[in-house]
Formats: sequence, structure tokens, C-alpha cells
Amino acid sequence: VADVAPFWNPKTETLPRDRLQALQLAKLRRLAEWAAARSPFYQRSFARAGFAPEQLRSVDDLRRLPMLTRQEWMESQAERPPFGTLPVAGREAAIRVHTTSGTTGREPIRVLDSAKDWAWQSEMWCYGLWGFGVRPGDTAYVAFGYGSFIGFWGLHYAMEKLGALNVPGGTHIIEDHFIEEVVDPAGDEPVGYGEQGERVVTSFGRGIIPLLRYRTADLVQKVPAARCGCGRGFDLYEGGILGRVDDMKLVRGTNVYPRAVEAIVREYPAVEEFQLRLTRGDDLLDRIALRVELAPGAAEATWVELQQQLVKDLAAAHEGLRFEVERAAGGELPRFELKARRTVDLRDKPVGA
Amino acid sequence: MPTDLLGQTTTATEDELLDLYRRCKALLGRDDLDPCVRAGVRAAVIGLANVVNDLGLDHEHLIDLGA
Repeated sequence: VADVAPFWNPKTETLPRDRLQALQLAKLRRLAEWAAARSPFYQRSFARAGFAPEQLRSVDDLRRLPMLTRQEWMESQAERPPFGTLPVAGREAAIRVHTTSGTTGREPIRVLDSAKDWAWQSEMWCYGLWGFGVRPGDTAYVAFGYGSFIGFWGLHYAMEKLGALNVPGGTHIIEDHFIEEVVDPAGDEPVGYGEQGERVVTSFGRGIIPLLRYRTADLVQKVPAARCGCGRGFDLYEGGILGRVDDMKLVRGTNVYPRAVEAIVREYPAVEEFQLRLTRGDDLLDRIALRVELAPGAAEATWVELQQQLVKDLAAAHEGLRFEVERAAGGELPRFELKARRTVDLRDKPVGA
Repeated sequence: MPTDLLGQTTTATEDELLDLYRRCKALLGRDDLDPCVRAGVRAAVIGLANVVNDLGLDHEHLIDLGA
């Protein structure tokens, strides 16, 4: 019975929204009490905001909590190296430490996991993998080097727990373990379903480092559970993580998110590699060019049609902004794994450089 | 009658899981366990903690038990 069940956790994945929110509230209260009792960072932050856990009477009261920014997290690490003031316990309580890959030139975030926290992360992967149809006995291959990238290690252990071998993924928000808000990147106001905004996460599962309203800088677009017909009551992020708020480029008044461009380009199997190049001409006008390498074996005759289609698709997704789509020679463009660095912004260079 | 975090009466299977979880936690809290026993019991507690959390039966962090 277990292997043919459509849900990893049918009890909560199919809860009506009001019951799901009641469950979130119960967990949120316990998390806020845990953070208030144990975490020096949250003790101060709650006091500054005039917040006490007993004020949580509905999920909407989440907005009474102050948000947590990466900057604050980094400052807390500087105040009490190496792990900062967020953790409720020291390294002796942890079985794993990892760092976020971070942004070039910025201090990495150092994260401790207890044995239970780590097992919980694998559990979260299991929700997604089961939803994708992975079952015990399946075999898959993770086509990346794991390195220190935490996500693939969580995937690896989840596959073991499921009784299968390995695969990538992510879809419905696991709302019995998280509250996910989507807010205006320039402020704190929530945006509605179907609108792009910044992902703000409250995670019930982390014990050592309670995470309440963490601004991730991930760009997402939430859609209601009903958009998907699978029977789960959890909302979805359409297209997954669309980009990084801090990666956004402003080109002639239009927002361009490199990950969103990548999603369009990857629709074309004839594209082997690409690079997004932003320059500013002598006339001080911004120019955005997409440089494309054709896949080995792609017919030369397809180039002109591909070029025209990409120009059209990119303009349609960017308020009519014109991308210049150019051909690059085979092997000319650099290759990247995991976080793409396929965007080159030369606009801050002196004109003509 | 025992209830879950939503106030619903728990099923017989859920009662059994909660009982196992609490007994394993109590065992892990003892200070006379050999290393191999502690490691195995800790793994059992963590596995059951994920189950009772997923089912909305209990939700707690286990730092004080070394998990």
C-alpha cells in the first residue's frame, strides 16, 4: 500500500486550508516560544519589536514578528564569531556545519544542524521526491558534484530514506513545516497570488537556529493549491525559484532577472551554452545581448529561426525589451555548475573600456 | 482521549507511535547507555520525531537530548 500511495504524508498534505493554518499556528507558537527562551538574537529582536509569542492568535499575527535579513545574520556572526547569536546552542549540540555559497565578496552564513535538524531536511526532500513519483527501488543519478552544496546532500539522504538511489526536484510548498510569505522586495508588504516577490521563510523544523521571517532574497511567484490537480492543499511556487532579488538588473526601465532569462533559453535544446552581456554605449544607452552557443549536432540552418524566436520570447517576457541575440563560437563561452554566473554587467566600466 | 495538535482524537496507530516516541525519548534521557546503544536509540528518536511532527501529533526540538 505504501509504495502506491500518492502522498508522502496524506494526513497533512490534503488538509483543508483552515485546518492547515491551525496546524501552522500551533507550530509557529512553539517555534516562537523556543526562540524567545533560547536564542539571544531573537530575545533582543522580539524585545525591540515589542513582540511576545502569546500575541500569536492567528497565522496573520506572523506579521507582528520582525523580519530577519541576511545582513543582520552576518552582523550577529561578527558580534559572536563564528556562528553568531541566532543559535540556541553551541557547536557541541551539532553534528554538521555548512556555509551558504553566499554572494561574491560577502561573508558566508555559517549554519549548524543538530542530528534531528539534519534528518528533518531529508524528510523535506522526501515530500518533494515522493510527489515527483520517486519510489523505493527506483534508480536515479544526480548529475552534479555534491561539493559542499548542502542541497544535494539533503537529496542524497532523502533518496536513501525513501529506499531509492538519486534525482533532483522541488514543487509544492510544504506548508505543514513552513510558512512562506511573498513580499515586495522593496518593502514589507505582501504581494498577491501570481505576483513576483521576495520569499520570506519561517521554518518550524530547525531547532538550533530558529528561523522566523527570514528574507531569502529568492524571487518567487506563489499560486494557489487549486492550480494543481494532484489533490494536495499546499500552495505552489510557479517555476520554482525564479531568480535572486539582488541579481536583478535594471535595463532601460525594465527589470531583468537572469534566472528568468535562463528559464526561457533552456526551453531550446539547440542552445548548448549562453551568456547575458550588459553594456552601455557612448550614447549612454544600455544594451542587453544574449550570446548563444549552438549544441553540437544542431543544424546550422536552424540558427536564424532560433535567433528570431529567442528575440520574440525574451521581449514578450520583458515588457517588449529588445535583446540582441548573437552567435558565439563552439566552446567560446565559460561553463558553470550550480549557481549560474552567466551574466556579465559591464555598465559600470568606463565608456569604451 | 489523546489529541493531535489540531485537537483531533488520535487513531490507535498514532497512539502507538506517540507511545514509542515517548518511551524512546525517556530511554535516550538516561545516563547509563553504552555508546552503541545511545547512538541507536538517538537514531530511533529522530526517526520517530519526524513521524510525529509530520502527523501533527507533537512538535518539539530535541537539543537537550543530544538530538
